[in-house]
Amino acid sequence: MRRTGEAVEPLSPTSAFPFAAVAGMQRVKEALLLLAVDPGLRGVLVASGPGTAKSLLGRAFPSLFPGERPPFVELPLGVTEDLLLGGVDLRRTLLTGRRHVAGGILARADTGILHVDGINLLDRAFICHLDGALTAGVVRLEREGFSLEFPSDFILIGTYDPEEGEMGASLVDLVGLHAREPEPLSREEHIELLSRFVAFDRDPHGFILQYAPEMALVRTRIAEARRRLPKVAVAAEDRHRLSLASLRLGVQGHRADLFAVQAARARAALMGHARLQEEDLEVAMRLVIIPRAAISQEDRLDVQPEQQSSQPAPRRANDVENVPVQPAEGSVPEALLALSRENLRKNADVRRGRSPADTTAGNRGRYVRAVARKPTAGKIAIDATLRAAAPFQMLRRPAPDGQPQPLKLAPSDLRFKQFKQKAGILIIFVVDASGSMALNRMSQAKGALIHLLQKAYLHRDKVALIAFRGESADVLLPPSRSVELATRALEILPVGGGTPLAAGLQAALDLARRDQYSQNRRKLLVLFTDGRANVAQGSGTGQIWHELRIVSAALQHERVTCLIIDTTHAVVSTGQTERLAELLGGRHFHLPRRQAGALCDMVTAMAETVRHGGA
Amino acid sequence: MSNHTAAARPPVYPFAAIVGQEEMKLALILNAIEPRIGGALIMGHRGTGKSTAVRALADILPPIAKVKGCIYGCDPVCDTEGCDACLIRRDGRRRLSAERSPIPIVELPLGATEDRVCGSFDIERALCAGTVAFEPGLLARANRGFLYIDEVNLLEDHLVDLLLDVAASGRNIVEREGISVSHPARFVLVGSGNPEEGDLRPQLLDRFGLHAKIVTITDIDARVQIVRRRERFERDPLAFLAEIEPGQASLRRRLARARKLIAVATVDDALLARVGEVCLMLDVESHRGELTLMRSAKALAAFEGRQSATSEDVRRVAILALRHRLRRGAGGEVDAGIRITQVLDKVFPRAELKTNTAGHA
Repeated sequence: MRRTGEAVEPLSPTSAFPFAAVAGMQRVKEALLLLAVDPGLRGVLVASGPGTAKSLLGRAFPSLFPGERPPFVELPLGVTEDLLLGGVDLRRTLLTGRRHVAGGILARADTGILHVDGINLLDRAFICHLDGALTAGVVRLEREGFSLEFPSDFILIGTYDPEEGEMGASLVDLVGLHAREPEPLSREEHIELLSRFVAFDRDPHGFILQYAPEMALVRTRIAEARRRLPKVAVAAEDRHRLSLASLRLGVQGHRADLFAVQAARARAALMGHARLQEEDLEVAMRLVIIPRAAISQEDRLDVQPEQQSSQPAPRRANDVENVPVQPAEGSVPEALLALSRENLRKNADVRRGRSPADTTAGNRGRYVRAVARKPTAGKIAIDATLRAAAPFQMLRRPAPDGQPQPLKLAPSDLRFKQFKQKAGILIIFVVDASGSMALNRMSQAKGALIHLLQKAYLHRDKVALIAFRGESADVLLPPSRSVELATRALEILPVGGGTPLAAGLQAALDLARRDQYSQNRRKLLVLFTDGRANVAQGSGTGQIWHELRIVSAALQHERVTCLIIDTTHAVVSTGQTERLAELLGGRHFHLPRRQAGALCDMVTAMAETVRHGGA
Repeated sequence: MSNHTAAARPPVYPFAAIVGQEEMKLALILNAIEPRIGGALIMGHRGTGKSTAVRALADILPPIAKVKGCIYGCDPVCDTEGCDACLIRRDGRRRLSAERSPIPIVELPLGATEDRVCGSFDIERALCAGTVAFEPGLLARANRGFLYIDEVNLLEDHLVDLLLDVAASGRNIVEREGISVSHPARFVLVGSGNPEEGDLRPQLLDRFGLHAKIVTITDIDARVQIVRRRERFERDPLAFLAEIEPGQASLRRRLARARKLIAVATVDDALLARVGEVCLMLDVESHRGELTLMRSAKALAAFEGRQSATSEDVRRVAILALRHRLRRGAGGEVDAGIRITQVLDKVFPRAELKTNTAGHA
């Protein structure tokens, strides 16, 4: 079953390094063993830091299979839709003069293993195709004049570094196991691994032979576990406990319950237990339920109690610890709960739920697919154009003498690159939640904000929400398109404490810069404040305006358009917000004089200007 | 072009074995009885059986009669709608030769290109044979059946617009370089998705007939049952299907009967007036709300084997039919269900309902 291309591949540490030779990573190895015992678990997502040999383990996974090794296919991050799903087979089509269609990566992974290194960085559009194949077991192609279906039943091994961003919730739900290795390799493990690399490099063949007996043992163990698997007894009580745990931990949907029972059985089979033991349940909790709970909890922003005190706002990361995670009586060991909290803390900053990819006809961004219709500014997609022209070459070439002929292109063959780029703009709402924002004005500001969020949504804009109070600013919602999430974040926004205005703007600046790097969208900053800045970031309060000046200049440099909405009445205005507006080079308004609707129209008009490149 | 699959299609989890999620099941059943309800949008948590339910529908829908050999599956009796070929074939005859065929459930995969959705002109054939040939797309296959889009909230906007337009007009028109082809495309549009992955544009929301919301089931026994049934299905699908067959057969019978009954089902004028009152009190933006509510109530009556809809029928379908049609106010969507229930309580007082249903029982 192995593809012929792999046999001649030169030995390299990443392709043939033995599974058993990888030091440390016990949790990941355990998950991979369970998956080898029951491939019905659908896959493993491996989260660990850089340099922990996670992709090495992923690539060594096929060697765990007793008997014939399943095909192993890599999904590169720079994939295009054609490569992933399949399409016209250029070579055969040109040879025969009639259209041949070949399956893409998803079809080739059928009955085998699909490995994605850096899966959290995979484009949202491709994640959707992975989701589709995982749920249906087939890839359906309805593209460019053909309608086809390829079987695509595979095991997914995705590895990623959580520091670079979290996984989308949909894939976490569809893949059975999720192994997190929170600890980096210990110094000893690291040195051990390095010395093994060196030994492998010096004599790959000898090194592999050295581990061959151990690998053979592992395979035998898995073969035995597979035989035992159907006979493992699951008590009704164990099912109840697992379901109750995922219910209490707030896991969405019902796949967790199913995978948890499956994982516990696989672990029991591996350990030779005739019925589920306590440790089997714990493994299922750790690899199936808790990772899902962490993601589901993040969706739920309504967990933070309303605080009216003047205490400084706690950092968001700590808030998440207050999540009322109710352990199921006796069924969730304390240590596991601690682990769950640790996950929450990790995920608190880098949130899930990236919105669907916007594809626009511009000529910036990343090439994801080719289209037949000419966009306003299009680059020709050579690959797709060749495929479109291929079937007609026989018809179009008159020469029968077999001489090589130049390719004959017709205007209808032309295909254009469609690039993925964020179509909307990013609106960053920065809200003053300090004590001086009297409650009634705060609620007006909230009302106006919710209005704005709904408007922003209509234009496919993304919104981010930052609140500042006490001594710091918190990103309550990183750029997102879900009105639901934004509204919830806003509804629970507590008020109290000092006014660290510069910190708020700094947080907006950081966000804008990150966005500039990754998405290159135009940005609009809408600041709700009474302007009474009284907390400096670093040195004393005397430095406040100095800090504001610096951060304002930086925002202007990043070409962020600013709109300052003063929540005080014009009559009592101290002129501070006007001064700030001047620094930011932005426009300034008072809130109370305006109805939410009027304000909304105004921000919408501003957004429109930003969208079309003005301001 | 060879098709790899067809024969080896795996068995589908049966509709009758789906635990809970009554709102979603009802929305699908009502559309299966009365396609003019205008489709269903099913939004909710991942992993709650949305696509399972839609795929399972195929096995409980009664077969329909279609014109023999017609690629659009035209109705052999109806002479007002049909593809060009059937209109020519008809030529004065009342009835064309027919064959029985399952109601199509066509899935629209993400990444589908417009030419495959609407159909396209086959240029290969045009060049080889010198004839203009239209190659029908998914919309043609979905005629008189269901078109299902999973993750509808992630579909490109222009495709969603296009689908809703065709679904509303019942005809698909393809034009390219001076050639124009049109064919019937009357289908029930079913979309599903998880709102956390991105919302659907509000303008699109109210163009779906019914809007079902589903959540994770919190009853432990039901959850355990879901797992056990799924395990049994995966271990031995055929044995499981055999075990569930009585439930499936009963659903099939009820649906077949309801599809006949719907043609004669009625809503009396008094009830109609109150349906109007409900919509008025809720400030529903268009007449689509009243129409959908009335049709859904009739479909529910037919499913229960009755000819006329009762106020209880209206109550049971009101949230499905109206929740996405309320003006987005300060309250937002969260309490749409509560607002509808309050209005229903006013228009149909509980005390009256008891006697009403008793009379029909």
